[in-house]
Amino acid sequence: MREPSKECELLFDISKGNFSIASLEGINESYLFTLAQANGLIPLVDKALEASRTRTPEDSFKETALQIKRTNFFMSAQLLYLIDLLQKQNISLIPLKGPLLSQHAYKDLSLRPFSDLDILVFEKDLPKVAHTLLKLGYESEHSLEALSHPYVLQKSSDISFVHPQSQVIIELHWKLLKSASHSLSDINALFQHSIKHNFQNTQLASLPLEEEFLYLCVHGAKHRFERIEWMNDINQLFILYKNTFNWDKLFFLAKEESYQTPYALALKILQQRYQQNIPHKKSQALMRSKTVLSLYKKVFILHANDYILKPKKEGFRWMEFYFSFQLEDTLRRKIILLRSLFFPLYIDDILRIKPLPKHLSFLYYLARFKRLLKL
Amino acid sequence: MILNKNFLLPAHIMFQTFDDEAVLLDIRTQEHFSLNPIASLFIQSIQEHKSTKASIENILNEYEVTQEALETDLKHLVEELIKHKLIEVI
Repeated sequence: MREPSKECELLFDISKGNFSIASLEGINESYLFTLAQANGLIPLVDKALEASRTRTPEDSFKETALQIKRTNFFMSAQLLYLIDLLQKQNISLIPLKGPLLSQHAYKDLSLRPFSDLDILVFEKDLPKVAHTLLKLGYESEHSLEALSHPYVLQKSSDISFVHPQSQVIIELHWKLLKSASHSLSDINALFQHSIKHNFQNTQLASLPLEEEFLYLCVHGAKHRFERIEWMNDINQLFILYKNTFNWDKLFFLAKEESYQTPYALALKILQQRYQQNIPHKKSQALMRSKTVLSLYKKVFILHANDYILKPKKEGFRWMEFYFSFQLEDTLRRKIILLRSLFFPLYIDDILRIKPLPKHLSFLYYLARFKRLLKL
Repeated sequence: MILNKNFLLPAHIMFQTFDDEAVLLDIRTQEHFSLNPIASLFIQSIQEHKSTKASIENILNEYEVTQEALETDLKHLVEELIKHKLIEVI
């Protein structure tokens, strides 16, 4: 098996906090920059260079890290502004990933780049939140009718808004994970058990620890952990909370929601890539499954080939599909994945037809043909 | 005199330094204000809950400026910051 490039290994070392000037020997700095940028690690590399005083006059790391710091700052301000506006309307929300993760997992808002703001709200509040975003100048590619359409709410989990001037993207979620059907889909419980983090003098609600960890495991796995930052997020949380996690709860959540494979894959990465000791026997057993080993090998190969820098092929990508297929725990979810491949149903397809009763919901798929035939 | 009072950053104000520049941002209005290095050091001191007297000493240690000139500049700065509700008197 091909070994990862020196630059890739250096990025993993930096993400683990292992860096010395000697590590730069034989490194192509321009390639390191490109790879670090694609992996979301520029601020961490910059911090490592700063700490070791390895600076060149034209330091692209420093310049880019500064730009990320600015973006993170202004996006955080935008998030706090929105939270303030929504709280005044008695709307509760939980920010996901983004500024809050950066602050609480890395203890520094500037160390984790983010390109959008994800917020979780109650379904009932969606129209009000959307209306507030529109008033602030945000735009959505979908009609807001989508946010009160029962089948869209059932089949989808989020909708994006973009501000045309600032280019800030807000992803409005009404489900934590699209396919969650038990504890993680119980928004009331998530809000009820949410924990508070101090963020810029404001107490913000955050997902309970175990739910957040599992959410990040599933999110990273869904994207094949193509970016080192997704692995690093999990590693940072693991370092902070490995002794406070309720591991039985975490294991139960993963099992109940049929996310055992993504969970075990994330733990396998922590064990193999970050040399972490997983302190839970049942979870260790999951990590030994053939599927998890096969998926881990695929993630390793992606990084060994610096896949993230390779141009993506047009059309259907079998390898990605097969990875997603292996990632699904149950036959039911594998079938749903196949259905979404052969019969993808988009929000606009659903909106083409007037709301139907639940037992006729299969008719929405006709709208897809209507679109394909351009009727 | 205004500099005999102490100040704090209200909860709706964010402060961040960017290399040689610093910014105060009002979350409620999204207005932001750039600060010069001395003003930035003053705000940092306030953020660290230092008294105005201690903040002035801090700046005098860092920059070659007379106390009189500094106090004149800071007086104008504080008045501006209060006017824009970027700091509050404790």
